[in-house]
Amino acid sequence: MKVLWENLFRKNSSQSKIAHLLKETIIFTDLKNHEIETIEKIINPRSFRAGETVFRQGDGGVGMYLIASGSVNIFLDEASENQEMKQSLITRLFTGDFFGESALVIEGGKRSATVVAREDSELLGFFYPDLLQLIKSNPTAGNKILFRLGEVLGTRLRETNKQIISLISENENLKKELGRKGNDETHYSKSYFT
Amino acid sequence: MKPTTANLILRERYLKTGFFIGFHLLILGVLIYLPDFMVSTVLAFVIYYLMEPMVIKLEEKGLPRTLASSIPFLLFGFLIFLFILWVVPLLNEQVETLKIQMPEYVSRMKELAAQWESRTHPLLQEMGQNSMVDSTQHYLLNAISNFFAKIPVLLTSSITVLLLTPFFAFFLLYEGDVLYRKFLKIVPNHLFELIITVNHSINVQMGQFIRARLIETALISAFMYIGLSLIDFPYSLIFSLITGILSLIPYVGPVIAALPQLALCLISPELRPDFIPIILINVGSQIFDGVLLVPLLVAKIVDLHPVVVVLAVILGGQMMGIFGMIISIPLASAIKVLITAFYKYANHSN
Repeated sequence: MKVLWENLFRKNSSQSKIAHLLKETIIFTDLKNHEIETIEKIINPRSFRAGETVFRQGDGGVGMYLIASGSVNIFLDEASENQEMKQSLITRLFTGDFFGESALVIEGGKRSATVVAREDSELLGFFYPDLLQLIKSNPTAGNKILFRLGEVLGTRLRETNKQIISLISENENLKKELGRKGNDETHYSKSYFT
Repeated sequence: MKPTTANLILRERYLKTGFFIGFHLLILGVLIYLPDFMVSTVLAFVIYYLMEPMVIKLEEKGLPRTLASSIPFLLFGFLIFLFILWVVPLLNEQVETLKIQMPEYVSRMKELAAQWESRTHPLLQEMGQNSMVDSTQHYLLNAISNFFAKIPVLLTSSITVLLLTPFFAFFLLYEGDVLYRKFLKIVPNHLFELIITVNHSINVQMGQFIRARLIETALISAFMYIGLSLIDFPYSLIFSLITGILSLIPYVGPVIAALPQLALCLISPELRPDFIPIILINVGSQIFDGVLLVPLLVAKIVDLHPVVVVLAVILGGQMMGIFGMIISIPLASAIKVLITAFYKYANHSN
């Protein structure tokens, strides 16, 4: 009777959960089912406790992480005016999100932010050596990933450019405003003293 | 008092790190305690690095891992079989002749030493040296009897190594990646990326090192064999193999390899005219190595300082005899790559 009740597909369903997650991630979205199975074999599942650091800003980076469950905080370490280091929260990422993908293409690059698990989390690590191995053993799958990776990095670059442009225009506006205020004050002081 | 999350993370990190280090020390202990096991493992890695590119190429063609690992393995086995079929009988013949001729060579060596001693006798007496003839004979007889006494032990080890090495090598080719993924599970989170980086560097550099060095050894041996055969020099195969293998030791190796050839010329009157051609062939092999092989094969790979190579070979020989000498160079290179990768990672991480 046991066979009628027990979940015979438990193992498969847990495997398909990772496969489903991978398929949903833009970097792996073009891969066929058998290629996703290959990725499942080479991906590294890691468990992190709430508050545990995944990596620190300035560390040497070797790859990206995909959040299978849980969430992470991303912090930027900055030196304040009195030279003390302070951490500011940039964003929060949840199940299905990924981070650290630039380390997949920049060998020996440094991490640009600190990532800390917000709660007990399961992350799937996909690293530079894994990508190289995949490119060698399955160039078609490797190319699909590289193409999507290029798209992700390009989009991030475009977003960063947009933000830089908006910051520049904000800066210009502020300068203009300060200049106008300065002129008003000079005018005021001049009129006051004359 | 209930431990805080930070304390819990720290405690877990210490525990996992302790287990990780303990696991490695245990493996190291087993390898040191069982030298045959260690030699087989290192040789299996050598075979693995040699065949890995072919396995990847076959996988790229769409072959499943089982076939992709089996084909190069069978091909390598076939090459070994051909080597045993063609080269071993010739080598055996030359070794047998050498064994028969050895007493004569020893007595000629003794004569030569006696001649030198008579010329330098007053000087040696002042320096308080014993008779050179006695010392030479004593040294040669000791070395020969030691060599033959070690043969049974060496043969027993060889059989164990010969059985274990292909088994380990096939296992590494077929299941190595799965084993590596399992090993990664015990790596603590804070060391994980470091271990991945270090392992990647070792794989790339050791693969290049082993392939380049083996091709270099084979080509130098072939060059020497052609040269020695052209002048019809005896024991050409033994001498060419010795030169090929000793060329792995920079500067010192080729000189040590040339010494027995020159000594043979000196003690055999019929071979004296070969003295200059022997020097030319040996120098030629080193020019071939330096001008062609090193820039093409070895220049980009991890290179060890000659002193380190000599020390590693001596240490390997002292600890594990002939097998220790064979595995000393790849092992020393692995340690160098390991230290370099750690250093590089530490530098990148501020």
